[in-house]
Amino acid sequence: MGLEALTEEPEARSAAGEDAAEFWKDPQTLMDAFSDQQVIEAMKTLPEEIRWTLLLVDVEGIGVQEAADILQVPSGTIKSRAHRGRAMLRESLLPLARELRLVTEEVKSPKETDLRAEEL
Amino acid sequence: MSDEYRDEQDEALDQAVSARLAKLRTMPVDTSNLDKVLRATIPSSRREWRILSFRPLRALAASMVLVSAIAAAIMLSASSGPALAEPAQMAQVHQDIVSGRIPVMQVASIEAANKMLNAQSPGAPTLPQMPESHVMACCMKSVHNKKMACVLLRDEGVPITLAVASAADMKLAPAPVMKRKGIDYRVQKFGDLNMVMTEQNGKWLCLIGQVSADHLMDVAAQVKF
Repeated sequence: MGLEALTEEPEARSAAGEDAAEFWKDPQTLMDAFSDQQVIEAMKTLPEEIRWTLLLVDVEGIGVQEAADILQVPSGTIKSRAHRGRAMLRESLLPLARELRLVTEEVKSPKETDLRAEEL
Repeated sequence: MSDEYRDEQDEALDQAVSARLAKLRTMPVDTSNLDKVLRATIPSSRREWRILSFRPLRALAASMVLVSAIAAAIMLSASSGPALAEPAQMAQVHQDIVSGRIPVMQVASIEAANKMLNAQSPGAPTLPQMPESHVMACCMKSVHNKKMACVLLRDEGVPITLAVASAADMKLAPAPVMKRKGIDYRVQKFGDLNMVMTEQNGKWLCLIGQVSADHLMDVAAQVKF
């Protein structure tokens, strides 16, 4: 599903909203629904060291060890930064996904789920 | 939810984000001012340790990685040429302003709005004249790193956002054209929001609201430069 699909008539988008649960089952489709610019805007909200890590590992596709050498940190740090960065990126895109009705209001971010678990 | 299921889901989400980011690799980037951006975005001390830290045999490969990483950083921090605002982005701007999700300055006239926007962001695009009874609030927004001066208008009780940018910064969307009083408007729709875009006197204008495109063009007709 591309961004153009989001410009469909409200009825069509509502149907997409009803299928929101399916998007979590297919996270790739959900991620592909965001435009490049939306992903970039979300990237800009991340702390610099996380952004550099994602740029090298995911955008540039270089290996963990190589990224570790360039940024002069242990490879474990790169792995944890990449994992944390991806989670932060999802967190940052979630309000937009709700806005665009790609996910329902009920869908919780990992942070929200953790908070709820703590309350229980 | 079992830990195992959660781990699997986490991994799937991780891979999805990673794959989406990999697609940015194919984005065209303007590398004409790489050096300038390099100097501006990376502090000199950091530049030195980055470059000095590379082992000789890997210097070339590492430089290549750095150059493309910096190109990606440029992508993140700046863009050149006129930008194209997508309907979803303009709808988001309108919804953010109306819902108060972003800070706006309450103003009662276009003069006050222009004064405040210029104080906040020197060189901000100048808002055109509108009947004072319409003006409610203003703010600066950025789309594709291009500045837009926005003013929230109230027309017959309905909030309408008027976004103004330099025509050199924003380009008109490839959308159906409607003519009104000799002026061409590009008409778009996003959900229940209509938006009309036009260029006048070197300014790019976009009006967005939950009213008909005809009504938006009527409001646009009241704009005076």
